[in-house]
Amino acid sequence: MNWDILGQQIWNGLLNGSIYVIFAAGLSLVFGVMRVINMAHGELTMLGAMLLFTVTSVVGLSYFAGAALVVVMMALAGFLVNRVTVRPFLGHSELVVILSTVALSFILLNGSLVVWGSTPKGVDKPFNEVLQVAGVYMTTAQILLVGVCFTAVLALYLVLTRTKLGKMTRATGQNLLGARLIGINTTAVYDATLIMASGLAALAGVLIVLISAASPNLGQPLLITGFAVVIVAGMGNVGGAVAVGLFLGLTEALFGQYVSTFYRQGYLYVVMIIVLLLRPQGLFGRR
Amino acid sequence: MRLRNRPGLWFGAPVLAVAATAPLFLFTNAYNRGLLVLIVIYAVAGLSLDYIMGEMGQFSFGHAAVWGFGAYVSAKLALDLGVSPWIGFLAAPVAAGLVGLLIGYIALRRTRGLELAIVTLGFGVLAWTVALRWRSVTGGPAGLRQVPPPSLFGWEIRSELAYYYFALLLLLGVVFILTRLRESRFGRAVRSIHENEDLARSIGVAATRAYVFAFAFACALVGFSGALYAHHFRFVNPNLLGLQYMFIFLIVVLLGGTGTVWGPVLGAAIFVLVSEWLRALQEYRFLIFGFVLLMVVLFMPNGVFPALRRVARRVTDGGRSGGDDAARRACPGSGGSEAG
Repeated sequence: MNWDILGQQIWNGLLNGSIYVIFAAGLSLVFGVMRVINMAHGELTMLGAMLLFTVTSVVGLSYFAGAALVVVMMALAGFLVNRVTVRPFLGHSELVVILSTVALSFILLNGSLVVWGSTPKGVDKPFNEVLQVAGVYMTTAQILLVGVCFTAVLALYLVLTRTKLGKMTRATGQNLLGARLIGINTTAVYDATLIMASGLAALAGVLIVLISAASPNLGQPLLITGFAVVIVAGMGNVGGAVAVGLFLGLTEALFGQYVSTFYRQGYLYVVMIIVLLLRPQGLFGRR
Repeated sequence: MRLRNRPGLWFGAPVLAVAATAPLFLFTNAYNRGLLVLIVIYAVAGLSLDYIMGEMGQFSFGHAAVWGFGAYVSAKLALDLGVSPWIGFLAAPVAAGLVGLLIGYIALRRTRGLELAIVTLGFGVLAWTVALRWRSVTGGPAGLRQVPPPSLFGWEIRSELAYYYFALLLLLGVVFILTRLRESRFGRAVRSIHENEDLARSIGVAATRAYVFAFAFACALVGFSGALYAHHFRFVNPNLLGLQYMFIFLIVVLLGGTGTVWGPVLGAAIFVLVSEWLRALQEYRFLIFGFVLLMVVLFMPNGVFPALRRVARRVTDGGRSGGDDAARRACPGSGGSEAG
């Protein structure tokens, strides 16, 4: 066995896994707290990537300033997402909310195609030196990606477990009526949840451009991958989504290297189907 | 009084009249008549999805995958084995129903509601991916062409007009079956589970079994719609199994109104005609469509048909309708039965 190749594939898997983790965490958070399937989550990530392209290549900001600006802007947009496409429909059937987020994803995707066109856009990376660590080639941009992802997940964990907002968020997710009864402003919690989720989605977007190009079409496949991750983990379980996202990213890369490159894309779905057959509620799902 | 006893009629009769004569005015060329066929196909698919949404109170994100599967079954039978499309029209719902039975058996034992939506999404996405990559069977992204049209006494139903009347007849059959099924013992059992599953179980309804069969029935119906699509447009490709059509069916049902027979039919007509009308806007088309959709959901979250029905009832009842409407709404059991 060639250890260098193994190491390289683990690193590649870690890169993809980091994106899966941060994307699926937001998707799962919204479902866990609000019982909303956000069909527009992929387009929020796409918008993050495209806006980064505009503020860096067109406006001329540096990558870091641009990324910070985009993430903050998109987090604030999460407030609008809640007020326009989620909150007005909460009294109705859960399906109406799905439809309104579908409408939002229609608008974002096709609006982006009108604005940016469908050709992928490259974004200048802040630094891109190639390092060799223990036989594994990695670029500094990739290290940045993994580092930021883990920091973000850690921050999300701390917010959810150590702050009052996190406590209120979890309480709302566990029992909406109970949370209201003890005086939690669930409207504000819902706003905060979508602000966090939208920020995470945009963060995934600004990080994706470090390893691939920005394109209006990157949202849909990512959404499907994200759903595969949360299905395996169990909907609404943020911690499970993080663990499964990382696991699937790593094993997907190893599968591609040692089993079959051609069926690599099918790997996620095969894992998903096995989990669905044995535990339809997901590995970490309750019930 | 007769009209009030058979509420479906006041809407059904005019709709039928419009549908039957539509090709004589407005829809006079082949292209426009093709749109009418598409309306019928989407209406059947919408009706089947609405059986899951309106009657079962559940949701399947894998419905388009079953639709595309039905289309492929019928197309493959005709292309590879030379089987008559008429057999395909029977084989597609049977195959789709079996798939529905399998998925329903796996998923409905343990999941309901949004969890079920996610589980079926998983199955749907898997089917789409397999179809995309299994080139030798599905033709890959390009799909399969030259699917033969059905023929009657040696005469191929190629013209849009003939196919439209043929499909319309089948749609009426579907509406009839659905209406009868809703009022059957089985249909009432399904609705009782929707209202209160624990209560239904306590009075001896085998809830999971009834739901699995209801799910399989809806899948069979959508498989049939898929076969109609395959033999009309005469090609199939993996995108038929994808989320794009899933969204279309969801829009058809929610636009028209869930839990009614005429809602999805109306929804299909509105969807096809509005998106056709927006075609002139080219790349802005789907952008505008997203906004239209959002507006519809904002202002008519229950769909167009219930809103229309309220207006119509006010007219036929002449002022007495206010209290009557409220009473109907207060009694949940009447919600489904008045729709027939």
